[in-house]
Amino acid sequence: MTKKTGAAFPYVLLVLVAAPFITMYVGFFLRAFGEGPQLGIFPERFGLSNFSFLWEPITWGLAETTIWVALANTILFASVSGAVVTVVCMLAGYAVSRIEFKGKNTFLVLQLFLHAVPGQILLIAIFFLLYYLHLLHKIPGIALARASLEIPLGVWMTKGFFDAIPWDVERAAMIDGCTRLQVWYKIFLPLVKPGVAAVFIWGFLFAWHDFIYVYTLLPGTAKLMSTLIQSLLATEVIDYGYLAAMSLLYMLPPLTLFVLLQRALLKVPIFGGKGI
Amino acid sequence: MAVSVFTGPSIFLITLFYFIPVLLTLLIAFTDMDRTLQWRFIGLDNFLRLFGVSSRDPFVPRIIRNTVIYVAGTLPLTIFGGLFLSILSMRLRRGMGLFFRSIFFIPRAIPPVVWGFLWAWSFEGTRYGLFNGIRSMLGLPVIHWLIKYPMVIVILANGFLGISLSMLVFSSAIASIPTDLTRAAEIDGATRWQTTRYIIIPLLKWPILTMTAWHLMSFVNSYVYIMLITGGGPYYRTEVWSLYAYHTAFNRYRYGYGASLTTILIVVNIVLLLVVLRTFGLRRMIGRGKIEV
Amino acid sequence: MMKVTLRNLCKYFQQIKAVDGLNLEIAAGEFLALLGPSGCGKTTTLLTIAGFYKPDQGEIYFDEQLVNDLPPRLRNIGMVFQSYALYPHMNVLDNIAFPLKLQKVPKSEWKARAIEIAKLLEIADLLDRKPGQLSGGQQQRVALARALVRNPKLLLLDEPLSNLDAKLRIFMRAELKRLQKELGITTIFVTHDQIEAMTMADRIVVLREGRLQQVGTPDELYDSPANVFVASFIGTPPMNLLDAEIEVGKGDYRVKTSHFSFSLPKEIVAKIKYIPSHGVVLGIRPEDLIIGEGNIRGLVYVVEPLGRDELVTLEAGDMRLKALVPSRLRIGLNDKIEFSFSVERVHLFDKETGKSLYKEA
Ligand SMILES: Nc1ncnc2c1ncn2[C@@H]1O[C@H](COP(=O)(O)OP(=O)(O)OP(=O)(O)O)[C@@H](O)[C@H]1O
Ligand SMILES: [Mg+2]
Repeated sequence: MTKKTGAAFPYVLLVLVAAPFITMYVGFFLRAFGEGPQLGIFPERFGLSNFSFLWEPITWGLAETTIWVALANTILFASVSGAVVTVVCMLAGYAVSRIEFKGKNTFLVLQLFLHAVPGQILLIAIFFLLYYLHLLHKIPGIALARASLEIPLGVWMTKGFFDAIPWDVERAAMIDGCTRLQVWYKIFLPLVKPGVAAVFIWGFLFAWHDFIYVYTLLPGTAKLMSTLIQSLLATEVIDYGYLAAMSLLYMLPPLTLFVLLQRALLKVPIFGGKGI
Repeated sequence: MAVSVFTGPSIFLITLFYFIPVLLTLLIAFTDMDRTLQWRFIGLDNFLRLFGVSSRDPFVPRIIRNTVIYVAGTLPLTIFGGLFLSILSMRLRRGMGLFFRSIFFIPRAIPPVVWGFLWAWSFEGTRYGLFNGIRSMLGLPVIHWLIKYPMVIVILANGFLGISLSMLVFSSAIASIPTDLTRAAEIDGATRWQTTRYIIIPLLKWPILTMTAWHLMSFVNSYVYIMLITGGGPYYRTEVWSLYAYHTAFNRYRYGYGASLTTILIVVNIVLLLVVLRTFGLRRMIGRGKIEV
Repeated sequence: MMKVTLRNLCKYFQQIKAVDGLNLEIAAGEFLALLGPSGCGKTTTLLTIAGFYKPDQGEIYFDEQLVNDLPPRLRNIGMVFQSYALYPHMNVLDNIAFPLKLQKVPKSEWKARAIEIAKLLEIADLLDRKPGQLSGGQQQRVALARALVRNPKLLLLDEPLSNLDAKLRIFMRAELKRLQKELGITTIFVTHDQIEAMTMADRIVVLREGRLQQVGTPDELYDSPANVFVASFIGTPPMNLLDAEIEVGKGDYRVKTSHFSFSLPKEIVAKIKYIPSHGVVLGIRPEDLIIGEGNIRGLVYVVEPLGRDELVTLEAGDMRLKALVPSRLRIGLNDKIEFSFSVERVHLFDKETGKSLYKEA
């Protein structure tokens, strides 16, 4: 008897802690597909009217836009950011994994430090920097700034991928006539393809989710998904169903990307580790 | 030689978006830069005001108190909550454990705006908020959560974000403990609780330390989620230091004073980093190259 | 065909002297083996010659050209690695043709040359496969083909046979030797297997802890090892080494061990360059022992049949000796026997320095 209660004990505790969260997630989901006022979890009836933003323009206050503009901008922003993170980290990761150079240890330790200090506290200065570089209010410019935030961890991540490749493969390539740059793109990049995908997705995802950089540096209009949702949340009368539906759409692309590339990603240590 | 081809781009971006901004922050901190974007150096005025030497800023003591309460709330929640959930969920069957870990990982997997929206909506003070809706269905009066307990809500929302990560890290650390060890303890007569207390937790020392250090830095600097859920309100009750700096600069357009607030934050960060470094020591994790050309 | 000269080559890893003052001249077209126990610096020597490690001291010459600062890709060498290091994402044809593609050789030509070399190595029917779909022996041939395809002036082989099974290894030994003579490429071959070195190489270099012990043809190394290390390393079963002293009488040199003594014949005395005061090591090859006749008494400790021969371990006083004898002798355990050895074939070494007494001090 006591044994049984003992085994059930973790379940009871976990369910107790998880219950409010499950309520929140389920309520959110039902709200997106519900119509009419919702009290508690269940809406009055189900329908798709919350998704009207798919075929109607979106208004808040006096401004107006469409979801497609926001989506296109978000894709542009996230892709540029993901591409920058991928190229820059793949290059630097190769160097710290394979080349002896002066200041290498300093470089690596510095990345750890920078990773520990969140870049978002430097926004005031970055605002002025972009202003003087004439990159303020321009999506690629802000994507560049956003991408830099992911470089410190990205360098360590890509270093891990390259560390796993045997030295003899690189030596063979150099004997065969490769320069270091040729070794990098002819041999190493093809060998860490899942890693390249992982780094890109990771850079893409953080930019896709980003709010504060976009909100601060692309001010005035709700140009991306995150700032669009936030601006709707900041109006006087909030339509929660509409917002829930839009949030679902916002979360869909990263989820799809992850599911599609899951198999490739699972080959990458950082995603396929134990735990979750 | 050609190393710069590889390291050049990253060094360039890091210089541009970390080092130059730090210098720029220091510079702006000595101006009264406002929305006209004019550089006018005013010496130490911002800092004197900040430290209450002259024309003192009446909000500073309150902001400091908020920040301390916020960090003191979120950090233990993250560490102990993460430990609690990982230890419990690792006891379950694989599938069930995975289910619960996924539930608690969701906060980190969804966009900040959506996490903010979820909390703002769930704790909305009218019947249209999720929990108040449930309460009114049960015939209970609505509670104005965000007015009555704003700090608690903010701490929970951020603490569970921290838990997402710490739980994941602790779970994989627990998974990597050889089962022989826990079996040996069982044979030695240890109860479940004793095994946890004397075997598992001591073996998690390193992940617990790193997670504590990492989240300490993270919470001292965090403001985005607070901004999304309460906006620092009601009336400065959840305004922490970094959020105050942000608001000063971007809502009140007092960039100079905002930069001086950020300068203090940068100094705090550097001090914290040094403390962390001293406690951990720098471990050698960098191998030597095997090609020297 | 290219000559390679190493002059006082040194490569250190912190306090480890992986290669320590190596002087060597490798003739054009020669097949040279680098032989030594694990960790003696063979791979390091090879990688330094290839240009991956910068020598801490000394020079490397290809013909008359100093190549210390030439990057590996410009040295025009072929190399086969112990792990073969095939590119996993390319098929066999692309692996073999890779060096040619890097030289921007037109497609028709690189294809023809890659197929030609594949035919030579009998892997022409594997060209579409990925390295992961090949057996160890096939991988080894692909690696060899890749090393040979651009007609290198120097071929470096790092234990290329050690990942093959015993039968294939013996087969490839002969193949490799024939191929090298056919193509006439100067070749340096690393191995820790002395039989491999003896059977394949024109000359052998014996290394120990980064230092050169002896260079010579297989016969020279076998017949006149320069020191105790080479003597014990070359030859299976290894040479018997016994502590001894030399007593100089009038016109007579007597070698005394704890159990027996004998007079050195004239031809040996003529070879001796000096006599150390602190004792010597007496070396007798197992095949030089003669069992059943002679004046030394011993006991048969164990008998190991090897087919054609038998390896007999004898106990004589506090010594143990191994003898290689024809199987038909039919010796039993614990038999009391008499034995002797060919005194004109013994080796003598300085007990302190290990050096052969037949070589200049
Ligand atoms: N990159 C390196 N860093 C530090 N020490 C090294 C390195 N490479 C080799 N060594 C050391 O140098 C010595 C010689 O190594 P090497 O690889 O040349 O031996 P080897 O003769 O090839 O041995 P094996 O037969 O086991 O392959 C060893 O003591 C080894 O530990
Ligand atoms: Mg080796």
